[in-house]
Amino acid sequence: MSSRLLSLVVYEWILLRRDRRAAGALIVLAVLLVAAFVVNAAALARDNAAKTQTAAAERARWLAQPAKDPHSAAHYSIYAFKPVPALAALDFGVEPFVGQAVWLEAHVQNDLLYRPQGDASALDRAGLRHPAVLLATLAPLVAFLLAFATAARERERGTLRLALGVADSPRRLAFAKAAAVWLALVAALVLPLVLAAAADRSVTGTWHADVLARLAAWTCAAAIYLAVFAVAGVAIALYARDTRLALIALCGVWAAVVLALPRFTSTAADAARPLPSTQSVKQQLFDEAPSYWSAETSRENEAAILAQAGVSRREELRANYRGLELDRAERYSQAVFDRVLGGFHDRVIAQDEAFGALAWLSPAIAFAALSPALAGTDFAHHRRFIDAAERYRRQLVNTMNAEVAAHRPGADGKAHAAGPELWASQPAFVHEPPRLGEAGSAGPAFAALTLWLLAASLLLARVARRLQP
Amino acid sequence: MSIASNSTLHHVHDAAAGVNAPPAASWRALLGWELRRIARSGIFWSAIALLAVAFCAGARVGGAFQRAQAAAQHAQTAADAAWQRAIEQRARDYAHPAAQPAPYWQDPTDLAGFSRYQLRRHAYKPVLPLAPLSIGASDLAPSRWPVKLETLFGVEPAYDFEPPRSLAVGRFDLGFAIVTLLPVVVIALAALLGTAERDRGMLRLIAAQPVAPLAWLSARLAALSFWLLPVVAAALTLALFVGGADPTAAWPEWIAALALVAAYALFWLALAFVVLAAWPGAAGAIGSLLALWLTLSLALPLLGRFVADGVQPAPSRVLYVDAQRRAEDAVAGARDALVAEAFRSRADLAALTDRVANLDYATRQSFLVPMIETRLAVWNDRIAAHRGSRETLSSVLGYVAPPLGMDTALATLAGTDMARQRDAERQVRIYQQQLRDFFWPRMQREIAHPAPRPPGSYARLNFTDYTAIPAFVPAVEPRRGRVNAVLPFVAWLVVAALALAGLAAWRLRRWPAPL
Repeated sequence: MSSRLLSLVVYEWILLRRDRRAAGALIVLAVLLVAAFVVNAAALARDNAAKTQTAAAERARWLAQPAKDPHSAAHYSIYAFKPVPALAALDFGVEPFVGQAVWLEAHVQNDLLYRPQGDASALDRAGLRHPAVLLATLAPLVAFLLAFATAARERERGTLRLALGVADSPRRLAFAKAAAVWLALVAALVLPLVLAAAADRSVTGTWHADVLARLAAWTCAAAIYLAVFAVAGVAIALYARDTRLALIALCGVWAAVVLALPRFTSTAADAARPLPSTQSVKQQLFDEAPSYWSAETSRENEAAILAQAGVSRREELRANYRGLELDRAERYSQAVFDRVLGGFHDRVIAQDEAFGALAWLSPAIAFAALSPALAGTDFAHHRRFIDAAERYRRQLVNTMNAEVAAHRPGADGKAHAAGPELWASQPAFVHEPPRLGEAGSAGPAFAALTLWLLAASLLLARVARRLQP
Repeated sequence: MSIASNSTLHHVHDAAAGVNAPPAASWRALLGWELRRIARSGIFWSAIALLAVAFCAGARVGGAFQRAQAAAQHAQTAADAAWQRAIEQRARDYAHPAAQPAPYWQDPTDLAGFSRYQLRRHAYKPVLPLAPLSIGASDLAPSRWPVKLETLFGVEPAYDFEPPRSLAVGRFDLGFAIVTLLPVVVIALAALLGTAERDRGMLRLIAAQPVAPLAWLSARLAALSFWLLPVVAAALTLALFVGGADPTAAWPEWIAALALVAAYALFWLALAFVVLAAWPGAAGAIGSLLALWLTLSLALPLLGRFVADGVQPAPSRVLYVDAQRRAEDAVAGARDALVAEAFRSRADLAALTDRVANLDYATRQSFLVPMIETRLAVWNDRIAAHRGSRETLSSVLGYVAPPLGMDTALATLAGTDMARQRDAERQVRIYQQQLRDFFWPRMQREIAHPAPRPPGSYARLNFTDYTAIPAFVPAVEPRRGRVNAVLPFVAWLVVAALALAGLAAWRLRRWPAPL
């Protein structure tokens, strides 16, 4: 940045600070963002503590099981709890709308239950605002307010004409105004949030390279997002013939681009790539892999198991028939879960990608797709937890079934009872969240956001060319 | 393009400046002129057209969503019926001699086994005719519940999956268009209309004429109201038809919805009246009105939730899981002793405690599940109390923050509100109790007086009367209840609008000195 441009930016910055209304709006929003972060971070920390405590209790219960049939242990199993993503206080993403606990029992891949918003009242839902959504919704309005103050109002007062008269380049003046608006936004809105997030991670002892990378990427995305509106706002304000037209245009753009389009596009993405109903998915699972299979299926299982072992009677098997049947049914159902539920989750992610691909319609869409992906709170990250929990369930259940298969019933007909050694051989469930870039794709949304900035800059350059003293 | 222009003054002042003309006539003349001006305003009709398109698009989204829910309910009913037919066929097929009896959990004619492993029943919350009005809570809260005997407190925590991103971003439904976009349009139109002369420096000229500021500004906003309210009502009705709603099947709710939306628009017009009474420029008016809009629609709910969470945090569902596991473990650990105790408390079973250890799992659970529920009742009550108090707070705060109240009122008329959801959940619990009352006494009678098994039969054949199982019948919901529920809010909006208009009138007693 040349020194002349820098001095212009500083000058515009000083003028902005003098506009009490614009500066006041900026400060109010900054306070709101930090307050939302602090309140949310405290709530999420409590939530995480409850999860850690209950997960430890579950592990203790698993280990303390009395000697019992291993398949009974597979039914008893454990609950797995989804850890709160590191930057969830910054952007809740889908977290309030996805289950947080799953029972990893035999025969069935259960849904994650207990969505934080599952019982939400209208107040809970209307009041569900996190810093990212506040930034995405309100910061453009403040950006436009600042742009209006620095450009349209100056034109109204006649000071713009004076400034253009002494400026050696209208374009430099226009970009200086946009830069001043952008710097004010970043300094007041983004930096405090980033510092708060960093402090939160430091206090909770969860500060590591991936968090740093995510925070840096989120900061970058937020800064670009604000730049789009700062530049576009100044361009619109300078282009409009008078302040009323500038106001109409800025308000209209904000209402359309920020308020209406993200919702509309999200709904359109749902319609363009519809998901099968939960009822049909559950019915398919019930039809293909019921938890309690019929006597007819039992006979088919028996024929297949005997044929595979090359014997004609259960008594001739070297392993416990019950264990073999449980294992066969379990592995069959696992294949069904992969096909039906796995396919369903693939379609959810494809829907999210369709939403991200429409980011060229609005920078707010780009940010709505990008921010949760960077914060680790989009569905792609959630799916990683679902898959990890399911892998653990399968490993646990298969181990228990193998134990059943390995022990024939005693002479008294009683099932084999396993003990603490078997329970302890099962490792505790620990979920390692994916690192940045490992889940989902933020690329298209990031590219769209960058293109939006480029387009806004070209618009401002074009508007500046026709500026005359 | 501005709605008012210089030509305003000649006509207005011809009528209004007549010294002997009665004030009412002056106001009527002003109103007539403003009505004609608005009728020719491109901005007005553009804004209304956009709003109508948003209404229709939103109603289509809501309609499609509700039809999908209804279709899922029908599909579930059909699937349950097909399952029932399959069960009956299997019962007939199993009624033959065999060397080994069928395992009880696979035998549809075994009362206990059937009740736990093969009973397949669902309860529903019917979709109402005006459902496209608002998706409300119906995208989060289920409308279809599997009903199982052993589900604690009746309601399975399962839910219909909706795209989480869609829930997070929010749906573009008719409720959103009314609650969020309608005020933005009202604010923009009122602010532009009410500040044209101020911005063009002509207000001083007008003030010099024999026209009272109240008459001048109120005529303008009244004209806007006279155009806005009918076209918004027409747009709403059109949108409902486009969305597939059947207003004629729910005409009281439809009329109430029209009244509600009209009152909501009036509230924002009255708020604009107060702001405009300070004679700001367009920038000041829009800035102030947007700030008020953001305060009412965003800041107050946000603050309300923060305070409510701080004062009364929601019971942790994670800790509930822990409590549930502890309760289940405690009951399972002493299961035989607990069941024996239950036996001893009953005349028909007191002498049969030696049979406790040999009970099948389903029959044993018929004794133990109520004990687990008793142990978890504190949690259940705590969760229900929290939900109740939060919903009450939400209703009360709706009067302070009209967008929140509007959201709830629209959902109430559409039948997608949380109050109806709670009613539906109560019905689920009642239905579960009916099923328990049907099966559990029969199963427990089998302990003392087991039905004889036909000699050598593959099937147990102590239960085949599937048609006697209670069916779920949704409770009849009085239509007037929904309308009555929103009337206080409609009245409140009207009263608030009148009070705001009164405040504006008070501010408009005279032209301000510095213009």
